[in-house]
Amino acid sequence: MKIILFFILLTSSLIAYEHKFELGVDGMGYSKYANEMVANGNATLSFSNDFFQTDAKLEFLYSSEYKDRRYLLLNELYISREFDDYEVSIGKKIKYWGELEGYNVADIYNQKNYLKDPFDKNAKYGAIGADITRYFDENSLELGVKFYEDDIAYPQDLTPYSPFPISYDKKLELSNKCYTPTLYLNANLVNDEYFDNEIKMILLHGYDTKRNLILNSHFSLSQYAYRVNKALLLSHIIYSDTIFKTELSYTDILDYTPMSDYTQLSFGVEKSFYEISKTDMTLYAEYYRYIYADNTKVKNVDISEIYDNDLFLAMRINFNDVRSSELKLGVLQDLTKDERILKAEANSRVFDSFMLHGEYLHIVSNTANTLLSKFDNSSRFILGVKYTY
Amino acid sequence: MKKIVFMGILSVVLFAQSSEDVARKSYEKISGYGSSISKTTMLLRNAEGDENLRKLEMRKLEGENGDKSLLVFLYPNDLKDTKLLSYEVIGGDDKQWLYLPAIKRVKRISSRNKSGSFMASEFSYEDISSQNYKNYSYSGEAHKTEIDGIEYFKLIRVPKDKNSGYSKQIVYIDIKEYLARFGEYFDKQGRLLKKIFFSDYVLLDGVYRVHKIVIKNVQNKKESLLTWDEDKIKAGLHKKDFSKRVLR
Repeated sequence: MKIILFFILLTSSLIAYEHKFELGVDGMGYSKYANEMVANGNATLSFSNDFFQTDAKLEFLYSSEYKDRRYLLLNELYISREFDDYEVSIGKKIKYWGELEGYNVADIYNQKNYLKDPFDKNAKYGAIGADITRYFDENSLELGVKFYEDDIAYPQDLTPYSPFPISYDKKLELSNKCYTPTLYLNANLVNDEYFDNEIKMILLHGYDTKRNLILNSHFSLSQYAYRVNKALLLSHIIYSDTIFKTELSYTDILDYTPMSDYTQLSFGVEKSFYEISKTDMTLYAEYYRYIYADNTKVKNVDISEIYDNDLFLAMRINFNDVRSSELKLGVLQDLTKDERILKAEANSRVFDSFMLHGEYLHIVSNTANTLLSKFDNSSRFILGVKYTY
Repeated sequence: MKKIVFMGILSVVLFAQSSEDVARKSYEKISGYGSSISKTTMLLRNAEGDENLRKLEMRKLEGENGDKSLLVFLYPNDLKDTKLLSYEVIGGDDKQWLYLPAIKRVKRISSRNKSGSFMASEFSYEDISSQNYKNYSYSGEAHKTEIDGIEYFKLIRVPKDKNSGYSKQIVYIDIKEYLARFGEYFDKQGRLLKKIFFSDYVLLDGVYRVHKIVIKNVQNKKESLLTWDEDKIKAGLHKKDFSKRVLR
């Protein structure tokens, strides 16, 4: 109620309003679990007046089969204002920090939304915070703070989305208070003197988005949030029609001794070919690697990560037709373990406002005691339609 | 008699114009808008006559070394708020960024795909981007030709950009207003690929603005029509309105 009143107050003097609604229905089939019909959608609203702009995004998900995959969520609500070379914003927001396509080492501002889809890197929860950005022509410097660490839900039912062998308690355990702020500084630099390239450097102090899993007093699994100092480097270099990408991070664990300090490396290359039988084709090759300072301690890859010594190969074909038809094929191959994920996606528009989409996901895991092995060798099929207004 | 012949030769020498001069004068007629905000509709028609609509807002800023533009997709709805920011670099590769609103991602993209279809239309990106005469090389004098009782300069221009989808373009410029009226674009193999028609010119604040472009692909029989629904020049936009901060 307070949020709604706050929102009404903010927008009472609006002079411009924009909206976009998406409503989708998906039939989802699983090789090892009960199938489901899923209704999902979102409403994006934007208001502006002489003083500021307000943006909001409301999301919902309703599964016919799995009760935990049902929610209505105000995932974003923030106000922003520009002052010449400055911009400030406050509220619940989603940010994207990343360069690569398959997995983003650096995309750590928001927590993933596992209820929606653990295999969609863009399924994220908004984080409550504030930021101020100073723009210098092409460069920018952003100082931000996250105010709050939220509880994170997982489906409790036996679903393709729940990898836990015992019950899970969404109540977050923390090394400090949930209101202890997380600070970051984000510098974005453009340089085209020798190569056409951009570099983003981020320094973060506060809670890591990665969590340990601990057994709580109710003998359920809980996420445990610990604080870190983290340095991130993102860059891309354009050479001809090839883009070389890098995402690196180093994490120094501050207040949680069971967890090892760690480094993450990821490199990628994107190459496009145009007008091949009227289609455009883009190829992606990416590599992800974890390096731990102390191999005797807890590792993320043992509990919540699959991207270690993994190679991602993908292809996107854009058919350049009026339906915006697109086909995406990808494989994530673990180079150490006998594990891989194969994914194929297709999209095509019909009647201007409807997008048809299909997806096939296949998990192969022949290594015991890994995160992926909890999903077993299994497949998922999706066929759906989305209406946009 | 000698005097008449001499005067004739003199007038040809004095008044013949090089193709580049005509191209420059034509470009000057459409230059000087400073910045602009336009809303456009694109109609795509295939060989069977089926039609599809696209709508987009175009923001442009004139620059010494190339224009800057921001295209905001308005329709179809699933593409709404997708943005394409482009910096034209005369004699080099343009820079382009794509903003994907669903995931709030600003993605740097390769700008070499100048010849590919723009929004599934028969327009390529190079067709709708700046028509700066410096992007082409010309040779010889502009030839006058008469079509349907109207005199035009016939220019043959060759794109300097090796990533262009065209081997050459023939453009017809009316000799009174120095405005491009129609043209023929040839593919890399030298075959006629597209016919283009510029019409509905409007004089805004001393600057000619084309408000309708029709492009017909003679090879696949598809055509696209781009019309300006709203057009404002000297719109008060600045460099910062074309920085990456607008991609959100």
